[in-house]
Amino acid sequence: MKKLIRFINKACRPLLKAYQHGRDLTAIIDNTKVIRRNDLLAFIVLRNEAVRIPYFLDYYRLRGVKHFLFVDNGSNDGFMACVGDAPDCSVWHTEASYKESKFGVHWLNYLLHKYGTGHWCLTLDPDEFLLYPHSDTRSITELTDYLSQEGKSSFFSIMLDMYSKKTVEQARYKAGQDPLDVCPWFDATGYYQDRRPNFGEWWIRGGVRRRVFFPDQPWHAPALNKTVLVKWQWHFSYIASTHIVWPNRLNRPHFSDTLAPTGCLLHFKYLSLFREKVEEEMQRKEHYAGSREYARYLDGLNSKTILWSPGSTLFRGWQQCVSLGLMNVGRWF
Amino acid sequence: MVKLGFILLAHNEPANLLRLISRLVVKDELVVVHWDKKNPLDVQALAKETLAANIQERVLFARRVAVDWGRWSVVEATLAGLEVLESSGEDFNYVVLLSGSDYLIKPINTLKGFLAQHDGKEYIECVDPDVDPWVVQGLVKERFLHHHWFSWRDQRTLFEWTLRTQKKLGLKRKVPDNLQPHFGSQWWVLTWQTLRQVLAMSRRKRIRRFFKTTWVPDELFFQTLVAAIVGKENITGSGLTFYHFTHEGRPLVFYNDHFEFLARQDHFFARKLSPHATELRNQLDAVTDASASTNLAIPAVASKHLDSYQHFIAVQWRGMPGKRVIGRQVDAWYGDLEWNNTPYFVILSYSDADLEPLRNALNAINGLCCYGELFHGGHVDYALPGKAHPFYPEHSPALRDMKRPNFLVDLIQANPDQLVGFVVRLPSGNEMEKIVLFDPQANVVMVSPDEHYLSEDSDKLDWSCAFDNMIMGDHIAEARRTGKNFYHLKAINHVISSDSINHLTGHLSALHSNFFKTGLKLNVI
Repeated sequence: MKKLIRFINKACRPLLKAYQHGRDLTAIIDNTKVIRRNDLLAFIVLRNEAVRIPYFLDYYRLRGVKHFLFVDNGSNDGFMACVGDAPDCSVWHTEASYKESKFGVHWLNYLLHKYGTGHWCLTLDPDEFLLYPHSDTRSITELTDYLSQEGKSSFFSIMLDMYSKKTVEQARYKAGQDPLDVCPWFDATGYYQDRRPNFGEWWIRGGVRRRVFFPDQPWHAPALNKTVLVKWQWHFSYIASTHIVWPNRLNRPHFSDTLAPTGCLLHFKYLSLFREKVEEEMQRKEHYAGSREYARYLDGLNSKTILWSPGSTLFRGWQQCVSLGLMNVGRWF
Repeated sequence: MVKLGFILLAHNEPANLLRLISRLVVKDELVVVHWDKKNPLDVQALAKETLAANIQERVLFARRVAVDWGRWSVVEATLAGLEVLESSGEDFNYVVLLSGSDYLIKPINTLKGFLAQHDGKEYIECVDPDVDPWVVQGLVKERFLHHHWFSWRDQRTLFEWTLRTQKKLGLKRKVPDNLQPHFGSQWWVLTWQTLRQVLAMSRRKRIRRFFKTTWVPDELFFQTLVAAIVGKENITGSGLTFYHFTHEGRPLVFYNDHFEFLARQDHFFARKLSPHATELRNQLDAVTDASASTNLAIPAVASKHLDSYQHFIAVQWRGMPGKRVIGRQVDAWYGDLEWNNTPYFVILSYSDADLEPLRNALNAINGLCCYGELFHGGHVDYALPGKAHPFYPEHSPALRDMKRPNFLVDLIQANPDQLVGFVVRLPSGNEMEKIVLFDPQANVVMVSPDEHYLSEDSDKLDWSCAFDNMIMGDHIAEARRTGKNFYHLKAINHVISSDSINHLTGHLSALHSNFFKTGLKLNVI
């Protein structure tokens, strides 16, 4: 009985919040009728990232995503033209506060509950590209088939910040371009993992963000652990961005006895678009912890920091991530 | 010439099914498709639309049964396919049972040549449960000794309850007609002659009733009947379909990158291919097209070549040696040192020793790299120009102090093929002085002061020397307690003699060449 009450409490609170904030969303394009059973879905919250969308869609379509559900938080850069009349995209629009909705989490939980239940769901930012074992020859659908067969309903990944050899402002990105052409470097070492007690999630910090933006307070560096691929059930909910998901078992990267495959989430934040973004976000103050992270970015960018360092590694593919110990193949033969 | 009939059991992915059909029909082969009644798609119409005319006339469709995994309906669907073959009035040498997710990995003509060579053999896995349990996990004899009315997948509680009750009551079934139950993979290649007898036997009420309430009859029915009909000498004990079950008893799935693995196998078909593995199917098509008439040297019993799979599983069981596993840590205290398998050395010294001659001597040797007091104080004291780690600048010790063992491992990795070392002066005030006593990769060098408590020109006690002795004494005792072997040096008046230095450099350079130059490098697989 105690367990039941706790379950209801834990499951219903985020759901109530999700429905409360779900009212902010107005459907502009609703193609959700074409979603079929077992389709792989992607859920995205964005603001003014139209330039990234064409390649983002190509990347995930190729790897088996069947439908994209966007939450457009007041973009004014022609995002709608980017989506066009693609039959596999649905768009919700809102002008409501990003911060109020717990940095998009409530909106996502709402859409995930409504459309994602029973599906494998990716919850992404437009600058995140999921890399998984054998990602050059196998699709995400094949990965999720394997995970379901093994009885696992989530896929753990670590975020790798990618950057170029030049300053951030010189890393110019054109729509439709592979961001790896612009930003092929990353930090192969310098990560710290620790398990936190409340939700049992692996808290990973490090990489270029800790090194460049938080060298004096590394413990304040943003988390790099992400569980973006989940087989959604009605009572599931994201707690803190995609870093923590409830129930706790979804935060477990591996099986109880052996290793499961894990992935890397290539994160292309540091493009020339970044500067504008940071300035705008500092005006809005709509980000986590009083936009502490963004204040740091602004400091770093004022002096035209080059993120590249002689210790940086050139990205060569998923096999490289496995050999660096950033990714696991598990027993997925 | 050998004439073949095929029975295909499929429940989804019609495109892959039709692709398989068009690969199977080369000349006069007859293909019977059983399409699961649960899937409402009209596959017959689809076949009419997409298949070429000459192939279409060699495809027949069986009476549709709603197939439940692990139940009699699987056998019923197969029997329905056999009935179609029988009523077609044609005569076959062999009939092959396949599923829609299987694929051809050798040319059909090679298969025909193979079957002609070993005419009359039955290619079916037939295992007597008294000899070999065969089943990877779960029920074995219970499958036929008790009634199973419910599906294990959908009605698990009822399934288990009925089984438990029967066991408690001691109810056991008798196998009819003195049949000896045999197990084996569902997929077989059998002679038409035998199959006709099987079909005749399957019409006996007793047999049908018995198998209807067994569990997973598709791995029992044909195996048992064939063992009863055919003599042991004609049963080869393995089918011609390559398949493998993982340790959890689930079938291995093949993806686009498995072409070479499949090409190595002796078998003619592979089970099961991922529905999205189009590239793999293309590659296999190229093989089966090219060498249509080559007579491959295939043994009478097709055996699996699993070396690469078994190697993979052995390596992946607990993670790769010497590689960090994201999301797993046995002891958080050690951080990444837990995964490190490159040796390093530590000079644990008392506070006043003059270590510069020692460090200079070590750094003069190729392959040794002795840093200063890395973990001490408000800046990272690399004390080796040009050898600082680019991610951990000297002026930001916070990055180092967030997790000191991780910093150490990063530094070791940044100096490949070098034996890395550093100095810790006691008392250091951080955990590294203890961690190195427990880390098997750490080679500890203790530098302790001489035992001159009294200075020479006066009879006063030298307090700092006594204190250093006490600290080092404690630490040495601790090292002995943990069972750590260490190298002990004495500094006379804070100076280490050149003999001792030479001895130590010899020792460490031997360690370096042992590990990095000879085959002792453990982290290479």
